[in-house]
Amino acid sequence: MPNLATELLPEFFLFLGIDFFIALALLTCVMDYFRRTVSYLYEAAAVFGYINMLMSREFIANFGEYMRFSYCFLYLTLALANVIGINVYLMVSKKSWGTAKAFASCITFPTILISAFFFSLYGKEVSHILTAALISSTMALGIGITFLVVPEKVKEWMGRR
Amino acid sequence: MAIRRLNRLYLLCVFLLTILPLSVNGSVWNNLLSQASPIQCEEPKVILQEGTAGTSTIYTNNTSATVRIVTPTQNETQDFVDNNTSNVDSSADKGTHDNFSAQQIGPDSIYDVLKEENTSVTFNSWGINSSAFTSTSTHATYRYMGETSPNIDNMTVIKLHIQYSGTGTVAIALYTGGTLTDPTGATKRTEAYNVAVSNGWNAIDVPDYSWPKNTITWIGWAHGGGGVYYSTSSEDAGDFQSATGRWDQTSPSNANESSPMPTNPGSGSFSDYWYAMYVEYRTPNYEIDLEVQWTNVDYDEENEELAIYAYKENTHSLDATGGYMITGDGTPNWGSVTGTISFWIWWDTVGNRPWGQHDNMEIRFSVSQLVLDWGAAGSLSSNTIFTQYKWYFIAVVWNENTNDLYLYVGDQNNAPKQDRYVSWTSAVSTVGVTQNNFMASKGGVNPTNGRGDDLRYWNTDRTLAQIQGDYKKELAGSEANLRSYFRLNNNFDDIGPNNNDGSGSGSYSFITNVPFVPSENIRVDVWDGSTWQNLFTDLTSGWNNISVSSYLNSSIFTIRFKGSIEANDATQDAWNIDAALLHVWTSKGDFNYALRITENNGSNWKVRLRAYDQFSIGRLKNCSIYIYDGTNSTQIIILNGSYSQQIGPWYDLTALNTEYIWMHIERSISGTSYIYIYLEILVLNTTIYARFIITFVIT
Amino acid sequence: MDKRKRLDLLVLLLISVFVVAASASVYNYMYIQASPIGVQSPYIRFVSGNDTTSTLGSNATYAKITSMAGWPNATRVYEDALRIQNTDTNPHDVELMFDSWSGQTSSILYIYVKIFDSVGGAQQGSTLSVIAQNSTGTVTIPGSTTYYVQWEIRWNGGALSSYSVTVTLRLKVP
Repeated sequence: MPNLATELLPEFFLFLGIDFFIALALLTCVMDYFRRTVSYLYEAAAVFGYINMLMSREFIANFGEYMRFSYCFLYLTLALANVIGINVYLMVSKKSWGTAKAFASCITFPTILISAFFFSLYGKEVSHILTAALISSTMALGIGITFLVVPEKVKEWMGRR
Repeated sequence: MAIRRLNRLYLLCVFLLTILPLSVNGSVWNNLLSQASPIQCEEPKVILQEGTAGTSTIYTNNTSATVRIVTPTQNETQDFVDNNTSNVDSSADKGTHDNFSAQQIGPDSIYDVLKEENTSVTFNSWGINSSAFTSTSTHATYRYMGETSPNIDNMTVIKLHIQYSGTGTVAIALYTGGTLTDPTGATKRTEAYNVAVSNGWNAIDVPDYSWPKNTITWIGWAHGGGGVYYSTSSEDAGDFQSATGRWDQTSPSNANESSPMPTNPGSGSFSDYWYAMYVEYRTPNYEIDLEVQWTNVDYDEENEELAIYAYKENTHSLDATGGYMITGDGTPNWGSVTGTISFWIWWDTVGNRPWGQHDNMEIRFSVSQLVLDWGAAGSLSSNTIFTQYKWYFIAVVWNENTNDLYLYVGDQNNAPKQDRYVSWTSAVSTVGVTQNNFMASKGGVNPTNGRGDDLRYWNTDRTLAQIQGDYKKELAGSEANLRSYFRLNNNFDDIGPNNNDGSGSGSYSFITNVPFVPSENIRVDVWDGSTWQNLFTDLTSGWNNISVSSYLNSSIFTIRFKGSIEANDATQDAWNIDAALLHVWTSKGDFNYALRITENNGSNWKVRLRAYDQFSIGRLKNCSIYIYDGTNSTQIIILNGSYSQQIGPWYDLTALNTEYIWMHIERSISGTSYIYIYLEILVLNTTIYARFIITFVIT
Repeated sequence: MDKRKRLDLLVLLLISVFVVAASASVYNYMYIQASPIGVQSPYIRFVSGNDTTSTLGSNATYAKITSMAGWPNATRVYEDALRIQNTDTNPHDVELMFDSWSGQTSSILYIYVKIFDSVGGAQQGSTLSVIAQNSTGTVTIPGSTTYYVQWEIRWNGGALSSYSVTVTLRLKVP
């Protein structure tokens, strides 16, 4: 059996985060529920992630692996949180319940799964419990962002419910 | 608004296009560094210094040098041949010396003419000698068959043969002259009459007749009783190839075979009959085998050469490209009562005027025919249509007393024949001279674009046979009636008695393309004690040099001059030898201490010489270069012009010691040779060495 | 979708393409650089020659020759100044290039550096001339083989014994 496992650098998560932010930028641009600024904000976030990648390359000799993993994974977490947050926003928005459901199945769930998969690859010795815990935290973070950003929408939704 | 957005988009793209690619890094490799520090300049620990032999030049830092050696020539002598009386091969000499002593001094244009002699004879036949004829004929009139005689020198008719049937009496004669279509102009030369003949071939003795070559010849006969064998087919014509057949003299109607034949054939007509009869003639065989010998030769020298100075006939011709020759000062008058002017000529452009001295004594062209203005304009026009790029022989013969004017034309492959004859009533003896020119006329008019050779003027009307006898070889200049003779062998000298040396005018040169050359080569062989060994297959004009070191082993040295055609050679050839000598000399020497190699650091080294380049070393018979330190270490060896050893063995150079370069040189010819050598100086137990350049210049 | 939206989408797409491509390239480079090659010993290394005194750096990837000298107006040849060893079983390409030099360089007539397959053997590649600042070209060293570097030094006539030069060459191993 050939050895399929390859060494992952921490910067891979940064790369993954950039991809997620770019996807978000394009999606929010296409959908009508969001202002224009949101797309450009997400695009800026992707560029920010790229800049982080450059910094990582220049200081690869200086930063330790844990340091690099930390800010790369944090970046990925932020991206995931924003994916979840967008999904929640769509949920609480009156006109987009169906969109939310589609978004959840096509975007949110696969991104979380991919991230979990690569995290498990990277941290081979890390326990699955820790993985689950991290994912849960992400979800909570995402929901929390939504409450923070559009509390009125959430209250309205909860009131209706 | 839209435009503003577009502008923003444009600026964004530019930003991204410039910044992002720059941040991407493509190729990766490893660099290993090697540093040499410091590379110091040191004082040389081994140096070159001048030697005492030759002249050495030491260059800056004493790390390169040039050594110049001059090899002396010693014991050089030029020993002329001593005698022509030796007989080392116990066979008699053949041929003659004209002036052997001329070989013992020179070169001075005084020659010893070596000439072939007639050593034996061969017999041949000319006519019809077939025995296959079955028909015989009897006839009452005189009959003749004719053809041109063979192109062979020195033929002598000794017998006439006829094939007879039955018994009878025959009169038979040889005639020359007339034409092949009319024998009436022929003249009887030899005969026999009232000769009894019998069945079969009959050989009839006639008085010897010196029979010229290329001459129209007839056999005439009459007979009584019996018959003569014949054929009616021209295929049986044998040597009578003009296919004219038998000339039947009309009268008298009853030939008298018991009386002399007619002096000239009478009128008659031809019939297609060929009779079995022929001329038996003999020709000589000319050979040359002349020994000459040196006695008391210095045979111990390094270089020994045989040198023979020969003169070969007809080396050049005049190539006129708008120029021409002025005979003498232009005033020589060749308008005599009788005369012959002949020359060889080649046209690059057919036309203009080959020779002329006056309006009424010149040769010119009209289209492609030669026209002679001989005493008057248009005296004669040639039958021959001349073409370019070919050597022609032209002879003009005139006789004011007999009113004859002939034009003879030949070429390299064909002997001159009569091209045109006119009964001529003008005179050239009274026309005078404007300017006597060759390759132009009367003062440079219409110069010929072509070549000319062997211009001759005789003050007699020569016969065709005489012209044919020497048109293709050079003359001595002293022949009877020869007045002016220009060989044009790289000069305009007139070696005839008139001595009117000419000069050139306009554009011309002398070239080596000539219409004829001597037919036979002259070899030179050397006697090695038991056999003859060939040295030269043919002597050329000028010096002929060859090394004879392998043969010169005693004080006696013998060579022979031998012709290249020694059987069936009917042509008597001659060669001119101006000088024959042995040139011996030695040039060698030993040049010890030519250069010094000095160690001044207190270290031990190994040294050697390596030749890396050379120039003109073919003249070095033996050049050996050594490193000497009490004993010799042979480093470089050149033998007979090429390296026998190009790299020497390593030789110890001990601390603070001086070693020397020695040389032994033997050379052949003079000149300068260059040998470029590295002196390699090796640090012991390493592969570190220094290279000094030494140039040896050997003259 | 209105015009403005389309324009926005186009802009976002363009930016996205650049960012993703650039990020991937950077990541790839980092991946290579961070691969554990640096952890292994180099398969091409310098070895001291018999003709000189050399100091080798760690892993023999750096060599300093300290003992060479030349005589003015004569060529000094070091046939075994330094050696290049291929410790791998596979052949590898190398190229010896001029890097820099200093000192009394104007008094040098020439310095030639050549690679041979053995001392006095066949030359490999071209002659590196320090004056011309060129290189030997790519030379392939077979597996488990050592090649020899030859130096030829010639000072101009009249160069003083106080003169010296320092020459640095780079051995490029792709």
